Amino acid sequence: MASTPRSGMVRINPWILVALAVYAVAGLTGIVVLLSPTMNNRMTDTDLTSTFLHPLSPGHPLGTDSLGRDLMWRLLGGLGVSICVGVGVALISIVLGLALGVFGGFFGRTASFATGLVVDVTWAFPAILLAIVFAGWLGPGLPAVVLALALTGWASFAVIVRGEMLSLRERDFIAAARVLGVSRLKISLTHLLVSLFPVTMVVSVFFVSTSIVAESGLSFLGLGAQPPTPSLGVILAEGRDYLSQSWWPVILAGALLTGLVLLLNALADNVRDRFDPRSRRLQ
Amino acid sequence: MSPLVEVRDLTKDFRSRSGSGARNAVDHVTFQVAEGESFGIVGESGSGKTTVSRMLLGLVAPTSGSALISGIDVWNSPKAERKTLPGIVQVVFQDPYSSMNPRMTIERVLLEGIRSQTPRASRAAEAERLLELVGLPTRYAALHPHQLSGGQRQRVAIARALAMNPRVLIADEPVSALDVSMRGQVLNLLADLRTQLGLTCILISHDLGVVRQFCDRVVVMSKGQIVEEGDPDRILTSPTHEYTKTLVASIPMLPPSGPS
Amino acid sequence: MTAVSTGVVPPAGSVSTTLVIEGLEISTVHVGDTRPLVTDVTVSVGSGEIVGLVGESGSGKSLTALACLGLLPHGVRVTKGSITLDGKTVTAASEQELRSLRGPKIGMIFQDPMTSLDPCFRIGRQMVEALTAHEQVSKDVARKRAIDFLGHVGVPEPAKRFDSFPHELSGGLRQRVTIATALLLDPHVLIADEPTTALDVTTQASILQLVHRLRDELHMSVLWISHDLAVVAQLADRVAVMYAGEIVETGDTQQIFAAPKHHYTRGLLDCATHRHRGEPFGFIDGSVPEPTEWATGCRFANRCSFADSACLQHPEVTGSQQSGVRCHHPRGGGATS
Repeated sequence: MASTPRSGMVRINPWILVALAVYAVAGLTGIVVLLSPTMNNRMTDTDLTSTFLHPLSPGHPLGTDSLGRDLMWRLLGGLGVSICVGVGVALISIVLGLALGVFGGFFGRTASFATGLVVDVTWAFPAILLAIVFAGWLGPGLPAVVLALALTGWASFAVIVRGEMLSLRERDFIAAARVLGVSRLKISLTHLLVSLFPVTMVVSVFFVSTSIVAESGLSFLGLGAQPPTPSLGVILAEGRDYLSQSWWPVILAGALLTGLVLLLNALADNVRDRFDPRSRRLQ
Repeated sequence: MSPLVEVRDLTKDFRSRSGSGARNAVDHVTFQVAEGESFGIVGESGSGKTTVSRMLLGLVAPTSGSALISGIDVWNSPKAERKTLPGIVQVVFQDPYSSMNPRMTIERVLLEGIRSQTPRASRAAEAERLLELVGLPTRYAALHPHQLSGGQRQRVAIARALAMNPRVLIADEPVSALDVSMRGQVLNLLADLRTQLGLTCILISHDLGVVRQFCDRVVVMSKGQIVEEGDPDRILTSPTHEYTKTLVASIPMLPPSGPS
Repeated sequence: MTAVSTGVVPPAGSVSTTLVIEGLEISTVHVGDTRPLVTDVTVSVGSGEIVGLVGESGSGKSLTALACLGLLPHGVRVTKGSITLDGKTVTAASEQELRSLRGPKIGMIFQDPMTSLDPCFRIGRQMVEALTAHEQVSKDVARKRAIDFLGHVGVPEPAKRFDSFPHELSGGLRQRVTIATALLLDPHVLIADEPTTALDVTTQASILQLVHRLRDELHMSVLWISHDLAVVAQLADRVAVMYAGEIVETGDTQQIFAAPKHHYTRGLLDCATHRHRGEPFGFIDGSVPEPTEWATGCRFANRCSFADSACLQHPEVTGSQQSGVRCHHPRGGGATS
């Protein structure tokens, strides 16, 4: 039997990482400016004397929107919002999904039954509906959106984790740990979470991507970011009304969004090739 | 003196959804193992022998019946008593690779059961002691499982079990996954440790020849039931139950070899 | 040899068939880096002969078997030597030629009958598919032949079983089905790679009986690969022992077991021999080396109690192909240069 060649391991495509880094820097800039009380006026100041300026106009590299607000800053801000929401929701979903998936898969029949119920109910809930409910309760805005997405998103991951658990818990080293007297909690932390790392990595990246799209969609519908907070979805919605006059808000926001999602999906694919032991070939 | 391991009417029904009948069922199995004895459970696949061991180890709950180790009921005694079981009964599994987490060092693997009781300062020394006990070089403590051969990993598994100072060691097909030329080392190690530490051994195997050489007493299982019990030599030479007769007759025999 | 009177069993004793493996070397070929996995393997199977290929993991026995059918995995290639079947060179054959050989000329049975049968299709359909891929027969004729063969290999109620799915059959029955499928095409040589290792010993015994019977009736040549010496002792006429990618001893079954010439063979026999209670188990010190760890001299030297400085030289095979040994100090005398 030949030994497993370490050199055959798939690398993460450096171009994807570079492109994502650019996005990240842009987004971070946007967040910083958005949160700074002194600087965020660049994104929100209206100037009715310079509306619908074309890109490459003096002082406004990407033009202005219908209210004269600088598009470049708004797009950066929107990007920042997308990334924040995307990463935030993904993080919450992953943590919840892991916790409940491991609990349901490993801590006995009652635990399995209980989590199964919770997962079924959650999964049946459409995120948009929940967002509307939260918007009614908390008022429309990003907190409502984040809450709604996070509370529905974790279910699909929990199911994946539960599935992994079914095979993992039968593995001999888990049984050995049980016989050695190690508590189930300790086993979860030392063995199971580590074994779940590959699938978690892949799903996380994918979750970021879907959350970004979801947030943009909800903001587009008016449920997400409220004016004057920018969001790629909001920019798209605003630009749609004036499409015949100025195409660039829609096109720019759309391109940015599409590019980001495509990149993230490509990264998810790449990460899966790198981490998923099943697709790795054994010699 | 009461037996160290006492199994009474142990039963496991697997409710099969497709209705194709109970799989790996265990049907009212009863036996005892005295302290210091070497006991064998022989059976083919589907005989229930592995399920019996899993019930003894607290991994699979029986449908009915009882399993007592050192007077403690594995499934019904109060929790405080059951918590002492890892220090009384330990196991060595069949597959030496999947029985240890490939991401852990050998030292961590060895100490997994006693980590919380071992002060950090003495962990390395304890790992070395265990490696010496099973005849492995102490430098192996820093390696990972995949760097060891199957036979060496099995010895680590034995050391890990012995770290708990058990009185009973259950070995479930301990050498079936190993190359033929390496099986003897592990089996000899088990035999030596048994005499050295006064262990009670329960050996589960499909190989009647190995069991005959290792065990004082053996039960033969088929379809969840014990069909025969007794001295391994006697069972090999004059089996009484129909199934045992078929089993013994099926064992391929080596032709007599010349002087070694 | 008489054929069984079912009327469908093909006549015995066709062209004098031999599988000849000569100086075979198989290596993994990565970018600019060739690593041998099997070296200098020479063994042949004569007409109506059962040859046992014995070895542990890493011995290269399975790769040798796969090479006979041109089924080596991706990245693994035959780099030296040849395999000829009825005079036709397999190692130089194109994929098309190989496809015509696989089945009608050379059949293979694998270890795990669950993965060698497609779980999605009924076994009858898989058998018919194998047959119609190579012969111009109607589905009805194919069906009849398949059912006949199922009965021939001892499957009870063959007509009913024809429509079963693989998971509905026990391991032993599935293995009989794979044997029947292989035999359906009347191959001249059958290669069996550990076909009974995954089976219970009682099932194994009946499969061994079956193979004996079929060999006698169909005059078929069989290359039986196993790590189990006792099984090979029951079945084979001749035995070749492999260790670390090369053949270390060949000979008549009786002679090899009565007076093995290679120390590894002696060691293996020692391990497989059952002793009395309390006696130590036989073993060979050390462990089987990976291909990257093979010594340039004798590959068994580090585990051999008879090794000396002469063993730093790689030993060649002495004796005939029918009865040879690869050792500088073979048991029973006769040192090689």
